[in-house]
Amino acid sequence: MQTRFTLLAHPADIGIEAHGNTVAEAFASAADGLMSLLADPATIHGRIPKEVVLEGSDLEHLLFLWLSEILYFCDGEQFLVRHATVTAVTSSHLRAVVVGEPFDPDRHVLRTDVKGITYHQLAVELAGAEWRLRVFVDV
Amino acid sequence: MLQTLDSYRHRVPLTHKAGMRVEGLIYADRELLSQIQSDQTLEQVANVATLPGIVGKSLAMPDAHQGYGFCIGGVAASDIDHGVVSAGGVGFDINCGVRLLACDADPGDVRSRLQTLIGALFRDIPCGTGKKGRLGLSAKQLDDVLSQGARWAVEQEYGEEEDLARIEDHGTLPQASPASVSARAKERGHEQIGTLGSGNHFLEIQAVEEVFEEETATAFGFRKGQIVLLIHSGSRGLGHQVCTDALDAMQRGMKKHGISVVDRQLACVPIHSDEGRVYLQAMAAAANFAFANRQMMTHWVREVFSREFGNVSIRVVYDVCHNIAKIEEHTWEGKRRSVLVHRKGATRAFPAQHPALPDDLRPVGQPVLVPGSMGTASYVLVGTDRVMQETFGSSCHGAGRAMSRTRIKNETTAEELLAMMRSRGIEVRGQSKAGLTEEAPQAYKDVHRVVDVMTGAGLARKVARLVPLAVMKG
Repeated sequence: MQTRFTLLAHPADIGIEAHGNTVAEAFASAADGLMSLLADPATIHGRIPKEVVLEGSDLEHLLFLWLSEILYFCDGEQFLVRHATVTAVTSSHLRAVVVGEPFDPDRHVLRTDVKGITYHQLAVELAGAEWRLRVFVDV
Repeated sequence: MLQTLDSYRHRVPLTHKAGMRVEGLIYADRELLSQIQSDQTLEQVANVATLPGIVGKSLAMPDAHQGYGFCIGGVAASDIDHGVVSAGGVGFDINCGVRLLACDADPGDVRSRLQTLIGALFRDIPCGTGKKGRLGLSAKQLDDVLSQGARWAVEQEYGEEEDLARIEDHGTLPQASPASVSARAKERGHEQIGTLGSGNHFLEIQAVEEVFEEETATAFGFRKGQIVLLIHSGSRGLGHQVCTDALDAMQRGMKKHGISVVDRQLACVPIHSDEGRVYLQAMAAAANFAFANRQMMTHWVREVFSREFGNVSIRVVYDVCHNIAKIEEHTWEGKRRSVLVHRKGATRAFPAQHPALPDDLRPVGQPVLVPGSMGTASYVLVGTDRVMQETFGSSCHGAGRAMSRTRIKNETTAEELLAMMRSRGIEVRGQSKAGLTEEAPQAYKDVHRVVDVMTGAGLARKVARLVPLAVMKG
């Protein structure tokens, strides 16, 4: 599966637009987009898996929770995510496995302090044959 | 449709958007208004005007720009009994704020040792992405920080008792409850106490270039030509996580309370609901963390200057929050009432005679600290009586961003920025070139213009203009 995301401009902050053939792929791409803001992914090895299970009220809520989870791994647990695989998403549940490793200041290059995931213009849409997600983060 | 009332005031009428409960009011001159109209600020002012229980007007200060949910530079007051609290109305960086210190060292000596001083500050005060603080806190110590704020820091000998009188709310919001702060927020914050952060946070050595009101400046505690320091920092990962937790809790709580909002980032709950109470207790705890944070950095500034100059006095001029929600008494349409004032990128500006001010500031009013963009200027203002009548005692909080981080990186480079700063004789220390570039002054509005709107509109008076000598960025 190929990760597909682009970064969007915002007057104060940064957005991520993520794509996927399935909603699960698009969620995984959004996580990779967030990680690319937080650190240089090339410096992170996917040595250790972590399971993520989330419950929310709709896909938008789940996207907020999902990216907040990735951010918490990085800023709270000092665990950098190399890659995410979303194994199941429904309108109320998400299940995923992320792989990464603990932050090592000698090897890892941190990029931006992301404060939080916002609902500003947050969107989960099926656009033609692909899923498109948009989310802005506060930096 | 925006209606211009005078040179500085622009009304967003109720007809602008369905569901507006009050009008919006934007403070700007023609140039700033055209910048404000180039993004979604106006829509966000209108969206905030739809919140249940909003009192007065949905306000945007002259430094306003598009945020998420609320605009940055937004002020909104909620009726204490029927209104809501919105975590997005405070923002992720709870009690992001500014502290001004006045230093008695000889200005010539400081100017001649700027490289050494800024180098020592950069070494002693942790800053930048992912930087841990100099001390790790135990769970009990962190709870004490969350309950007591700057007082905790002073009791640990980071500063003096007299510092506390010169901090908004004496550096402690008493409604704080560590129990309302999640384990995740504590985990994100416990190693970040005493760190500056990154992004737009900074520490500057500055000089007082101009004093506009000598008597007021004297009461504030500085004079023309004096060396001052400005610290801009907040509640770090702890506050960010408190906001994240509350956004989720409020999202879930809105259904229960029968509230719907036009933008989910405006998620809100009644002030007296369980979710509202928990948020306000956690927000106050995060605010206390930020007060303690700035207090500890003040101590390290004093250490650096003492090492360099021996016994030198560095006093706190004032410390303001600019991302906060506060329960305050205000008179609106002739009626005295309690309201919850959300200040999202706005500074409290209580004028002379306000009962919340300490004895020595009551005759003159509270210093309003307005940091400008890197390499330009900062201002100290004081609020007028009119600020209480129009803006719930609130002022602008800075220059305000005009350009996105992505765009500024296409417009300039760190090398160009550093050359420009050098040509102005300003020393710079930064953790990352990208971080520096994002904060280039071209990315910000003109702080002089922003301040002129505040004074032109009669909301504040200028007390002093400060210019940077050395800058440290995360």
